[in-house]
Amino acid sequence: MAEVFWPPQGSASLLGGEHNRIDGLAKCIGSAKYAYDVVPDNMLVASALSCPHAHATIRAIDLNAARNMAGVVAVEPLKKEGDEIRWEGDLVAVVAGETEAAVAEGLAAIKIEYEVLDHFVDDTDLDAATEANVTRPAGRNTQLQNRDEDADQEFERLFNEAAVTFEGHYGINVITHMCLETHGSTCESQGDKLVSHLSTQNVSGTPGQIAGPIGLTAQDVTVHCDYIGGGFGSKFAADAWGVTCAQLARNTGRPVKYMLTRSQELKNAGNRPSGFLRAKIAADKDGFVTAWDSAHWGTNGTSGAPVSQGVIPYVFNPPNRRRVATGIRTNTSPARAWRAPNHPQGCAITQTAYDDVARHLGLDSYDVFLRNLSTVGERAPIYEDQMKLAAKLMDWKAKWHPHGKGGQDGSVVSGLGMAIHTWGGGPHASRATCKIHPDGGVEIFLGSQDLGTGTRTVIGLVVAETLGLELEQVSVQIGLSEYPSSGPSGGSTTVGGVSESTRRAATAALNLLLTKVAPRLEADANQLEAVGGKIQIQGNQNRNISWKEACGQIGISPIEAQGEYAPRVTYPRNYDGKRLTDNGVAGVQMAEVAVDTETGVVKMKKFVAVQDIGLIINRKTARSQIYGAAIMGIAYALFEERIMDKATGAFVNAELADYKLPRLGDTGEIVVELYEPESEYNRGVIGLGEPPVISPGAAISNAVCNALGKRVSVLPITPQRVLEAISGGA
Amino acid sequence: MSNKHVISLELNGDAVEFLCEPRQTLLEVLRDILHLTGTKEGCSNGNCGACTVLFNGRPVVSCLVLAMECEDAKIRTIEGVACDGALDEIQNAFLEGAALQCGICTPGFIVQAQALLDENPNPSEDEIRFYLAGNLCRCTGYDKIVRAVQAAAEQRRAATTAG
Amino acid sequence: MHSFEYSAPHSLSDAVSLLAQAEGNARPLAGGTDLIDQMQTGRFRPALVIDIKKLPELNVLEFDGDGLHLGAAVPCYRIYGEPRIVQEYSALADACHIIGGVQIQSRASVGGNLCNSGPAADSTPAMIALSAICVIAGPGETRQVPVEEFCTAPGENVLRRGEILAEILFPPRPANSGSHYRRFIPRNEMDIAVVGVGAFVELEDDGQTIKTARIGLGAVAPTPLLAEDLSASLSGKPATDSTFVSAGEAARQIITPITDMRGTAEYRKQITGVLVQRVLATATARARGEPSEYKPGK
Repeated sequence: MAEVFWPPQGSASLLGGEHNRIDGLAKCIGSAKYAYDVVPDNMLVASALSCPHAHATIRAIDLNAARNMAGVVAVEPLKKEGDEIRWEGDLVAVVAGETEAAVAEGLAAIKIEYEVLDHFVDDTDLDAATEANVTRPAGRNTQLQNRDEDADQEFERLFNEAAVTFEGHYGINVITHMCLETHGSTCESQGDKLVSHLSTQNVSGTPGQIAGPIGLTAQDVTVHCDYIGGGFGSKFAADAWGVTCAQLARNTGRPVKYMLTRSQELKNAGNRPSGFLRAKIAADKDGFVTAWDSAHWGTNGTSGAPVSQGVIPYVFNPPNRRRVATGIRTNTSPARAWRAPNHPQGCAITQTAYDDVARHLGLDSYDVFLRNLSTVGERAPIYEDQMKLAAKLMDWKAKWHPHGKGGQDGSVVSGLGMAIHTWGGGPHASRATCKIHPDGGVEIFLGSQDLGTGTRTVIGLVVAETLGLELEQVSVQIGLSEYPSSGPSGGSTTVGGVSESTRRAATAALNLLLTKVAPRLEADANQLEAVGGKIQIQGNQNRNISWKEACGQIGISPIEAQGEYAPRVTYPRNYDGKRLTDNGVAGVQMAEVAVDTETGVVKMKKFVAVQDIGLIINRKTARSQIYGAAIMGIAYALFEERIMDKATGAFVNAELADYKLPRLGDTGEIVVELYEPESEYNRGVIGLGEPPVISPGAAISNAVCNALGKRVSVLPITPQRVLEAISGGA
Repeated sequence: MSNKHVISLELNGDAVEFLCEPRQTLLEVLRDILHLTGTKEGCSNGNCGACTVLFNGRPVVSCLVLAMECEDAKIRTIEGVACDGALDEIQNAFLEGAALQCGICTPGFIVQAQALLDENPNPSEDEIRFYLAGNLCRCTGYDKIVRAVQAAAEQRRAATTAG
Repeated sequence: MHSFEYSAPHSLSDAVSLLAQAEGNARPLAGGTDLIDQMQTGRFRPALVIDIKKLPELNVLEFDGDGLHLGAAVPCYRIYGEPRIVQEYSALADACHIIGGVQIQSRASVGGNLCNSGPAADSTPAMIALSAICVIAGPGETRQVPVEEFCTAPGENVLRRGEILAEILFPPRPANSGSHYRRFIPRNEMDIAVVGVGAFVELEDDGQTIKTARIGLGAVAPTPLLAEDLSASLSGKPATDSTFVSAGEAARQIITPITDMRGTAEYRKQITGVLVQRVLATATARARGEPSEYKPGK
């Protein structure tokens, strides 16, 4: 019988190879259908009205004029009289009509009277927020090596005895998810059944969210998502717009498409909390951090939660540390999970401080990071190994100069920086069904989704590897909630989840097949294996039958087998046997930048990312994930931020001319290195979406600091902030 | 409410006629009337390039073109890039080079790259980055997109030399 | 978008009468890259859109004894695609090469850029530096207005009801002269200018002394500016880095930038000085016939 565990490193036929995406062709020729590409006959389009005030209550709302407009078919209020609006751009009512133009005119005819209230949107200044009474304590925690000492006295002693102490200020502004396909859906209603073509990261989990509010049960709602134009953690829920679209389809009996506009997307559909930190740091002469005393704050919107204390400082655990966290409530929309929640901010506002240790002591940042690896726990040797690899790819030793002491080329100075990160990436719950048909066809079904990460291809590769077939011989069916349920795609949990359930389903199906084939080969099923499109006696290529012939033995009904991964059941707490999947990775990134000291412009020269991810299923898409993450990191390090106008409370750059994402000319050379010793391969599959997006902020900030000899405190490092840092004293 | 006009044009090599209002953009007509949804909408103000099509051979963002302006024009969309069922070199290079992730920006990039290589068969890396700067990729495949365009250019030149 | 009528006349006189009849409720459409966006967002709601791309006069790109005649609807790509413009009116080609991305350049015209009358328009400071003249057609006599006098406030200009900007006339390039336009943006491409600077430099025969200079500034005042006194003060000065640095310093004093999300006034002043210095250096190098190191976006 076939073994469920992965073949040893180097012996797989497909796993770890370079494979094209199986859905790449559809994306290249324009036939891939996203939620907003579904255009059923007789479809209505819908769009929402946004509130122009950051904080207000609705005094009166009159939808009658809109309802009577020619071409308007339905108007659905999202808020009612007396409701409080808590951020600018919140959605108030939806109009469905025959054409986009009719809808626009319907929206213009909605009459709303607001009572405008005071607002607060400044998350950068803790004192101002305290004064405005919009803060809330979010935890305080002290750890001392000498546990019994008084904390204040002990910190004072540590600071007095240190070779260097300094105070630093660090920050990273809010960014948005900015999915290129906005949130939304196209819904079709038929009697008591409803199909939602939803742009979602959560095919299996969203039918229930839609069904309840519109008076249906989950089994009456089908969610369908073959393709999604970006999610990044913001598309787990059906959301009010998904529910309203379904409701409108039910009410009108016609298909309805309802997508957010670009500015509604930026204002409502997901952002990442900010993080600001003031820290006092003590280090010995080699740069080992002996004491860390910090206060940090930030906003996640109206509820006011800052970045988690758990990432302060990030990866490193200095022996003495005190952390105070404060949340700021702002009139901004609620944050959503953004790739690797908390980690990018934690890294950006604390590993910059570690780099400042090097700056203040005149040491090589590499040595300071190395010196502090003793505080990172069991993964220290991996970090050390990855640092060596990254340094070689960057040519770190040859290029290094102490902070602010490099040569100048005209007005341009260059610098190097690095950062390290960690992430879980263990699998989510997942079920798969594998069918082998009598004609040799193979299908695999999962209620999963492919965000562009390559999930569809990974599933196909696992089935093909398991059955000894080519990738093209496997039909992968995902993106439909009717398939066996699989977890939402977030937190790098998908690749582990789907590869484990798929491998188990495919192995189970194969073993059923082997049992049927065994008599033909006059062998025991235990002796058989599926290799190279054949079923053969293990190690004996001469006694075999072709895959197609083998499947001819199945009979009239296809073989069908299930596979499942269930957290903590599949591998109980104390499990120490072989595994298909695991949790926990490390990564090291290095950046080289050039800074024009007259204009403040930072140019990326080179970026190196070294990453471990356990067993790699598809090298091509794995590398894609890291390139993508590195560039998304460059985006928030240098360009991207939400700009709130203090006076009006408005999100003033909520469209793409001024919400700055890097373009092709802004990214420089990028080098991606997969770190894959046998020890990592043997841990099985681990997710990759989050880890490489964590370090770029700190690595790039550190490179700019190394170039200038001064810290640009807040990310993104815009030209103006660079010039302010140069003329200021930081 | 409607002041509809008949517009005739050549779309991906075929003569096409449709009824539209002056206020409808080419993008809207392509997607909602002609159901050619390969051309994507990303921003509606010319900043993302997802709706790039060729207008008489020149790349334009179709969200900033009125359908009325297209009378007698030759329009080519992503659906018209592959010829006779065979992928264009650029499409092939994007596929082979993993120069796409979620895929929503891909049609725009491919059409824009097509315009580049038609105009300049041997672009430098800087020229590629400059010419494609009007297209945004969030996921982001920029590095591999540059490599794919380089590969496609090389393949085209080889094909030309061989032919 | 709101509902409107569309007309694409084939003669300038038809366009002018359509425009005049509409009594201020019509807008000409050239490349549409500003107008269509402005109609999408509801900023403009004209009852009639007059497509002026079919007017022969507005598509002219010709050289004669008066210099370069550039039709107001000629798209950017045709402008930088014309070798004589790259050579003789380099600042104009530079500006056209960085307005939006290539897709925008397929459609956008400098006439449209000028009529949109934004403070940060890229082509306007370049045209100011090149002493360009606007040729305006209307119900009455054709009239001429220097480019620096065309814009009167953000979004406003000297066009009267029924008038159309038909052509922009650039005088012939003098010997020993060169020009350049550069803007400052945070990204390499595709941003609205934080500051834009166009400069024209004519050298004496010795190649070392500035004979005349003209500097146009964008995004640092309500309208694009001709730095008149500063330009005049450069005559007779040596064409050296120290002159350019002082000119940059002086430019900082004459501008009145605003603080907005793209930059503070202080920051714009700093950048203006740096750009004036760099743009003068490049224009001078071109006047000397030296190879230019400038690449768009760098």
